[in-house]
Amino acid sequence: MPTPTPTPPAPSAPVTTLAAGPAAPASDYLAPLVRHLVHRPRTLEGFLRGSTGVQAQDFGLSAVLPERHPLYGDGPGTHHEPHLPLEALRRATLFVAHRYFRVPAGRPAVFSTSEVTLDPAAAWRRTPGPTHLGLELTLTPVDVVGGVPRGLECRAEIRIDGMPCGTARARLVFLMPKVYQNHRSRGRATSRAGHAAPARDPLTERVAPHVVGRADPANVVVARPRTGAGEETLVAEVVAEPGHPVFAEGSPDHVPVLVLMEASRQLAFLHAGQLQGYPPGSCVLAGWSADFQGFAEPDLALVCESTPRPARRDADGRPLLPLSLRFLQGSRQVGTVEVVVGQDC
Amino acid sequence: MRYFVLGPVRMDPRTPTATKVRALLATLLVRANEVVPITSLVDELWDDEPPRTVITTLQVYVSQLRTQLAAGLPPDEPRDRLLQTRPPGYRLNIADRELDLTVFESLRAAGLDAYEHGDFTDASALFAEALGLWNGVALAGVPHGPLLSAASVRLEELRLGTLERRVAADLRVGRHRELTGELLALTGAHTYREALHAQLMVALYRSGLQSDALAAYARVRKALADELGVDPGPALTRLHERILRSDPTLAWQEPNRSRSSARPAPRPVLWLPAPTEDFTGREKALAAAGPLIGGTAEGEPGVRVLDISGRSGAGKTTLAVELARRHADAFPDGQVLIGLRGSRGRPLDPAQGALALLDHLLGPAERRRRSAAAEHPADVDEVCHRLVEELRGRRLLVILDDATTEEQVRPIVAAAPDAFVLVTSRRRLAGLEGGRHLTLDVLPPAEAQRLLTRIGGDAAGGDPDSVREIARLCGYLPLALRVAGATLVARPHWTAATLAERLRTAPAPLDVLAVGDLDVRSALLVGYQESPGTERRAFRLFALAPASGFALWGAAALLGTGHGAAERVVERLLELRLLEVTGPETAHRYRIHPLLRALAVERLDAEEPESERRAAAGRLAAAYLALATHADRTLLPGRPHQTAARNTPPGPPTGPTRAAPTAPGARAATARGTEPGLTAQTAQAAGPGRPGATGAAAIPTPPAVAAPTARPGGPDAPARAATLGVPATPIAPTVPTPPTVAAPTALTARPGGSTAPGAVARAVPWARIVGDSPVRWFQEETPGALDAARLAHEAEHWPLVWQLAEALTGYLEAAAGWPQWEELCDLALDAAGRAGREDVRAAMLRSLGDLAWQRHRTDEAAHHYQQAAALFRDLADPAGQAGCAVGSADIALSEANPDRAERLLTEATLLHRDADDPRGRADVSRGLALADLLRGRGEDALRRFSEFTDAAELLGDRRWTAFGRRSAERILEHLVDWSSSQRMPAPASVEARPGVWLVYALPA
Repeated sequence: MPTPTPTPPAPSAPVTTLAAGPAAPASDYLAPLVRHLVHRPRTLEGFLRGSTGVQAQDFGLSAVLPERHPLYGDGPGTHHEPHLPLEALRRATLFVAHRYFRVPAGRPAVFSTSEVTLDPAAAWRRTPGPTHLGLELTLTPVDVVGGVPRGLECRAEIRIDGMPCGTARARLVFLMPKVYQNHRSRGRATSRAGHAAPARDPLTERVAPHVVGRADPANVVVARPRTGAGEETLVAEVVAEPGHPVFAEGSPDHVPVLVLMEASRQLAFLHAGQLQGYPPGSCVLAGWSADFQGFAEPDLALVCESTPRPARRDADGRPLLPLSLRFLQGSRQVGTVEVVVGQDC
Repeated sequence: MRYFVLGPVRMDPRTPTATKVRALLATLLVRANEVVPITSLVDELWDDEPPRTVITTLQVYVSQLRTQLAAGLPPDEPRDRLLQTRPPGYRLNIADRELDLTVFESLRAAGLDAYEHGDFTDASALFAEALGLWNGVALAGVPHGPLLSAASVRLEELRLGTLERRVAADLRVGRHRELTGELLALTGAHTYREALHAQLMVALYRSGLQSDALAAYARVRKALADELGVDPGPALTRLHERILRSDPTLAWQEPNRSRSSARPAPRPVLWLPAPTEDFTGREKALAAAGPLIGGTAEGEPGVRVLDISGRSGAGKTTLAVELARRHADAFPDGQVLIGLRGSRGRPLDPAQGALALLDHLLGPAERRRRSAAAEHPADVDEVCHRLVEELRGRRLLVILDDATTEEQVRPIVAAAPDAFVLVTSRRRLAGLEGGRHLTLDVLPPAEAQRLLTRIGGDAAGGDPDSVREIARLCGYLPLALRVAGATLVARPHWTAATLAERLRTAPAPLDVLAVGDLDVRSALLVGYQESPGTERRAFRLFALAPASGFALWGAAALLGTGHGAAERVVERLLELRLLEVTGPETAHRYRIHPLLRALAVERLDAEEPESERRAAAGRLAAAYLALATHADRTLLPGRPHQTAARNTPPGPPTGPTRAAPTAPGARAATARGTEPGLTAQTAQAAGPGRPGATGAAAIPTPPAVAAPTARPGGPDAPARAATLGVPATPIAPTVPTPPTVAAPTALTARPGGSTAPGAVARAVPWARIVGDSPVRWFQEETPGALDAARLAHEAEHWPLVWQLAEALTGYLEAAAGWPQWEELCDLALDAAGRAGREDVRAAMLRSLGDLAWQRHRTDEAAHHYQQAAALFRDLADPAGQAGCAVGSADIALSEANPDRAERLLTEATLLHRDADDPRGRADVSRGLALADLLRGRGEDALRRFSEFTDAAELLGDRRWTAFGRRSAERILEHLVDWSSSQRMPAPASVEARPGVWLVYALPA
């Protein structure tokens, strides 16, 4: 089963979510990320009534990328983080699921797969001033029961300042509450069964921020790594600073997906620096694809294991290092992530 | 032209009557294709006594002869093409087969060849055919000068020599009895030709008339002695001695009976191109054709003809050859492919086609003979008779390649009852009795990619993405794929990506698809060139139609004809495989294969005058405009078409050129009172008055669009609108209707004088075309409408450009079709600038502001609104200014600034006091409702949305009405939880306009 994305708190009305103020709440650091979401109706009822059937729907999503961000603005800041549009896709999909596909708000939603590709990578380089992010979204309902989809296939073309620069893909699954609870219980039990407490407190063992491409020590989520079973495999504990403005967001029920995304990025950069000598400050994400099978328990040790694949070069001759990562909790695999680390040159 | 010298000098179709001119002709003919000096001609015609004005007189004769020769030329050929002045004289150009002498010499040479190879029967026939061309004494009927005299002697000697050869061949095949009478006559006429006497003696001797043979010798000996005083030559003397001693070797040797009594079994014939090694796919076609050819098709045992039809380059011949290869065992007597086109690509006539098959069935000698006599094919019945004889009992597979008519095929099918005939043709030969038909289309994409990979080798194998792209750019046409693959092989320095890029970006993609003798353009051109003129013109003009396809109304608009005429042309083009049909049966759409379209573009540029191209572009854009306006008013009633009805503001005289108000369509529309605005809009469409192009700049009057019979707002919606001061048609009533203008004659005049566009417009059922689903119409036609706008822009039909933009942007705004919306506005903005229309510029800038706001490009939106507002202010257009204020308020709402939004909306309210714009006022209510909502004033927001909904209902805008209602329902759902005195929490997201969400906080 996939790693969950925290569902929004069940609002009293399924159609419009009402928040605390006219502007974005102070705690929502991604508030400026999405501002306009425009439905592109394909049918007459879509035009006239704003309603949709259980069929693929198109949306245009427009946002201004945050210029200062506690996590994604931390580090050399030469490139936009591909996790930002992925996160925008994730959130917009949840929004649409409830408003257009009539998915009950109380139904837990999880993303089983997520992927972002960068093409061309050069388009992701940051330029002075505000940057406009556009996503051309197509959401296709799957497993429709009683007129309500149990899942959504999401595909998006990413544009930065109007230029096509990659694609994002995700699959969102809505679980029935009972199924969700059973799944959590089984996963928690399995994690605990094979769990061994770490010898040292991973929080104090976190690596220096510069080796993972960050500047703020609070943003580091991987502890000092050790060599794994294979000679080239690195294994590191994953831990986030308590009360972190980004990582602490959402439900404390499980390790937030943002922590997993960031951990995969940091360990991949660290590993690329060790193996290929890439300076962590010049590392960029050139591709990221995840497949989650379950939830990570916040009170149990979580490790990430990184194994390199053969290095290659892109069409312009820049070095690329693909890595396969696994998140493990006890004997249970939480998910796998394929990362491609590039060197900014 | 045909010329005859083996008898009286004459020519077809007309022979000069004047003797001197005929003598001149004869002289030039015996020296055909050579320059005959003037001096020789003078000597020939006047001998030693030329007149004083001999040169002038000769020139007169030459001129007269040219006049006669011109009778056989097409009218557009230069008069002196055949008889050319070439210093120091004249030269008569004739083709080999045009002169009987040349044919005679060819047949004679073929006869000699056959004779040399011991094929005496053929030799005899060839000589006989050659002699049959004679019609009396050579060069008769004209006075002979020195040149003609010599030629006459030479020709007579040639004739007699041929005659002797023919007799010799006849003697070789035992026709001595038949020859005696002829030889007696000949020896009487030619006393001193010893060879004839010898032949007579042999014939008599072999006929058992030994004494007569000896008497013949005595006669010739006496004649020679009496008249010439000489003895017979040694050959004749030796023959005489052999007869005297009854030499057995001189007697007729009966040929071997075992060889001649029964006709030998003919050897199997194999005349096929080598099968294509990389033949790929076509499994369905092979499966369908196989049982027919093998005679195992269930229920169809007697089928003997299969017509494989398809467009040029579809791989028909390749498939036919592959079928022949696969079914070779079923045809023990052979397989023959006959091309039904001559050397210059002209279709063979039925006799020539049958003869070509006969040549392949007969031996090489017969082929030689036929080759020599090809210009004189036998009568088709005669050829078929021989074919029947040759084909009797022979199990053959005959491929008749590239047939153009049923007539080419029928004689062969009739003559070959035991053969299977595979026909390939572009057009389906539906008239073939008892035949089955197989239509070959382009390859499915996967097969196309496989074929390209097989041919292209390594370059194609390693790059599937580029292969996919090349296959798509080739339109999956097998010939094009083959050429593309060969190109990769021929140019190893090109990668598949290079070729894809060239195909994608080349101005003429067909230039890229040529390697060696493989040329896609040539193949496609044949079909075009063979089409009648009307279809060729239509094919060219359809290059202007959207690549995505077009409906019949688009065809009618481009052609400037009615639907009926357009349908006939379209059907014919479908039959000729120059067009293909797509879409459901109930709503056919047409498209041209991508490569044929490239050809159509080339031919359009090369053959169609610019004025006609511009006129056609205008007609198409006008048709799109009429339909888009109708669809827009059905989908979004009440939406103003602001720019269309405005007067041209004062400014530099760069506005559109207006033509005289005489367009019948415009008059009719105005008279009926149907959508006068539309008529006026499109009637204005005229070019910018370029030098020399004034007349051609205007476009035909578009069709009148009937108002929808049932408006979405209800049957009384127009009446209710009237109570608000809204006209039933959305054209502002304060704006005078511009004068109706006509399509000038320069535009309406077309080749063939087809129907005037006004009449076309009246004949087209526009409302029926759009139907009840304007959304579907927009979805299907927006790409085409955008193409039409681009063409109109290119053709400088400025008003059409902005009117199309206005008619489409309503839908594009509702559908969030951002790229198209932006391009249309940009085109319209440019058109407005060129035509000096500030009002249009203002409207388009405002529309661009709306677009930028939808895309959340707030700075850009604000900039556009500011520019537009300034222009509207200068134009004294308060409604326009108010619209810009509402747009700016939307920006403020996006930025969660309800105070600023309210200020701007109050400003808009004040502006609306002086403007008659109920839609604009409704929009202000919407903005104020949202501002209230953001401030937490739920009750106020509810009231505003209620006002908005009422106004939308009156306007008949169902979309706005539904939006207002659902917005109110959302507020009501939340008001339940709060008392009306409380401020409700502001929403995390609001639907600011239908389908446009302002999101202040997303779920985490």
